[in-house]
Amino acid sequence: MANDIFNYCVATNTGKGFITHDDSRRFWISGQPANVWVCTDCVESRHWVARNNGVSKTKAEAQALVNTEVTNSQNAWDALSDEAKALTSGRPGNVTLP
Amino acid sequence: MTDYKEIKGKTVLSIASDLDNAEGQGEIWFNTTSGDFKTIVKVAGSWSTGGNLNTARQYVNQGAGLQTAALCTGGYTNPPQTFKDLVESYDGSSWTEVADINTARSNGGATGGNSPNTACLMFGGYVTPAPGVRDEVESYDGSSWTEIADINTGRISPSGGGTQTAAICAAGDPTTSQTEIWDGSSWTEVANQNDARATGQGEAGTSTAFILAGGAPGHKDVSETWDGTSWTEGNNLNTARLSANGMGQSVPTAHVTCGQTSGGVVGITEAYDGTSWAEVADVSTARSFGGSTGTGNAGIYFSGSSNPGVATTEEWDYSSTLAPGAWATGNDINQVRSAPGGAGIQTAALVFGGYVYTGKTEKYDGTSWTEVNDMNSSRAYVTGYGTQTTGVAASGLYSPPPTNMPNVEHFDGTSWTEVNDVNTGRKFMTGAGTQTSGVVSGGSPGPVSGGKTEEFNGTSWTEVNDMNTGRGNVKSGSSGTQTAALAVAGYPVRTHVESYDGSSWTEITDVPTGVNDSIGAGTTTAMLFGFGRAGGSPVSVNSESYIFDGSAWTATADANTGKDQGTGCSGTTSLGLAVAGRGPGTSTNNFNDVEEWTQLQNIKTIAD
Repeated sequence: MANDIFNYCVATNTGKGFITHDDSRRFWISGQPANVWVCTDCVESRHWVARNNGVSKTKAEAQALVNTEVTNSQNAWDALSDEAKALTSGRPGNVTLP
Repeated sequence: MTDYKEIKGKTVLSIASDLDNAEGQGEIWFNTTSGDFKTIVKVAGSWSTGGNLNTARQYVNQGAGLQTAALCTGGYTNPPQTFKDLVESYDGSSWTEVADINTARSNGGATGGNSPNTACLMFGGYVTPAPGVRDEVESYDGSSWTEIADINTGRISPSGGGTQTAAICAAGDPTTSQTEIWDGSSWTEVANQNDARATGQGEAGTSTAFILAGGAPGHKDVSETWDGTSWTEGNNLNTARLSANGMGQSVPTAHVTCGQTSGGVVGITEAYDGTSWAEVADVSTARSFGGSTGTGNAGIYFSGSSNPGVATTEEWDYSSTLAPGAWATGNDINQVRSAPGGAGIQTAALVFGGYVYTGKTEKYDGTSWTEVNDMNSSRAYVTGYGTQTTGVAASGLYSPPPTNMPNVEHFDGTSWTEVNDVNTGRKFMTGAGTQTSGVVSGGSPGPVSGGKTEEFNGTSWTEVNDMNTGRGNVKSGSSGTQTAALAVAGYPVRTHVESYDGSSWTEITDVPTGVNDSIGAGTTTAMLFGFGRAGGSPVSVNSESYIFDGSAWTATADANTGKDQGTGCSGTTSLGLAVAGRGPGTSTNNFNDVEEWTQLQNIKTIAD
């Protein structure tokens, strides 16, 4: 995957049919914070974006959206009581898009 | 071969061509043409999105049941810090709220065998205030939850398996190696695990055959199996993790997915084959502390940690033996045209008529096209169905002047013969059936499209019940029989799909992309559909295609060239044909290109 080219988009997971088994078998797809999705760049994944009314982003734009979401999550976690923090799986970590 | 006959009780099949259906899975045959032994094997498993939970949350209790009958109980959201008593039931498509558990909690265990909606156990878990660890057990009968005998040792994130009358509860936090067995009335402590573990471990199996893998402290990779009496250590997971989840109702079909590694959350799924673990497909959204259930072939993973929790469901499929399908270019038809009629299958197709108002007819043998006798009445936008040797051409448009023709012709493999006209001549209908039992519907008798339906009994046409949504420019290509037909999409940009049962039309699942002048063929339970015109300005033509299985449309590979007003030929969703058509722009931008759809079984040659 290190040499793959990706496309980035923002799309809302609408549930059944959003990603089909056929989609998964045809290209790699990964959900990230802020409804950002990263796919291997191919005809099928570009049509997947269109089918789901996705809004294409550059990698920098997508990373900025993810950073904002992660920062919000980290701030929310920091504001939790110690008891509530103990119930979580830890402070949300930073996410670097491939 | 002698050994094979003794083991299997039969000899190896010798055939000139490969088996081509799922029944061939696990069978061995000798292909006398290629000189190879072959078999059909499953394709790699994959995850797809399922219906979202109604209430997003995290730290749900262990899932119970099957992919098509599952329960999600309890959970937690924060902020505000709230432990949930919610229960939702999944039917393979959507989640529905059912009766709440009595004690709101997170991180419990649960098991429900094949029928969680009428017989489920939920046990342990966590809820504040301190000490928070729960030992209560609740039993579900399909309408309400009842508290029954507690587990002996309260615990968070226990692993459960089995049924409402024979269950296992193992591991959990505070870190424990204690195992308890439920016999329908009480819990009994049995042999301890070799490795105490907590904080979410993947699990699968029953009260007499169970497997645990992963967990905490730290990030464990160890797995061990329970045989009803004792635990035995097995091979390790490839990826050590805690807060993992499991799927599988038997040890050899166990799967572990998601979780937290030292590097963060992962979506990695590993499958167990009875001896070792192997990485298979990842979930699309990595997370931990979700719920999961199901079998090794068909499971689900839902919810998961991500403040304040997520509603996402993903479905695992490791049952398909179909290799990915693809469109490939075939040899061009001789006559450039759009809006022809079509009949037959990919390897024995018949295409006739079309714009610019031709009666030319061509046969396809899967390799090349041969021109045969023209129709008696040239026309475009003609409706076709039947076979290459028993084709039907119904109605259509001729110009000048523009005239809707009611004429119907039958093809006998050599020439066309006029039969009785339809009652209402029109263009852009859809059709299905045979020369002695046909049905046509929809289309445009004038400037306004309609839903008129007519049936042919071998002699004459009779008007029957209309479609619910009148439309023209409906999918071209045969779509079933007189008593089981489909009308798909249509003008202006419709997603409507209706099913005809020989008496009336019923609206069924919409096709995902609204188009008109599309191409498709098949049956009401196996249809290949695609292409078409999506509207907009400038008008765009579509190269997307879908497969319908009788209940849902699945997007599949795009064709090489977008077009509309072609025609389709197909016997199954394995082998399809899209012939001629029109590109974007003017009505004279017609094609003679052909695309062939192929989706075959995943056949493997058996090597030494």
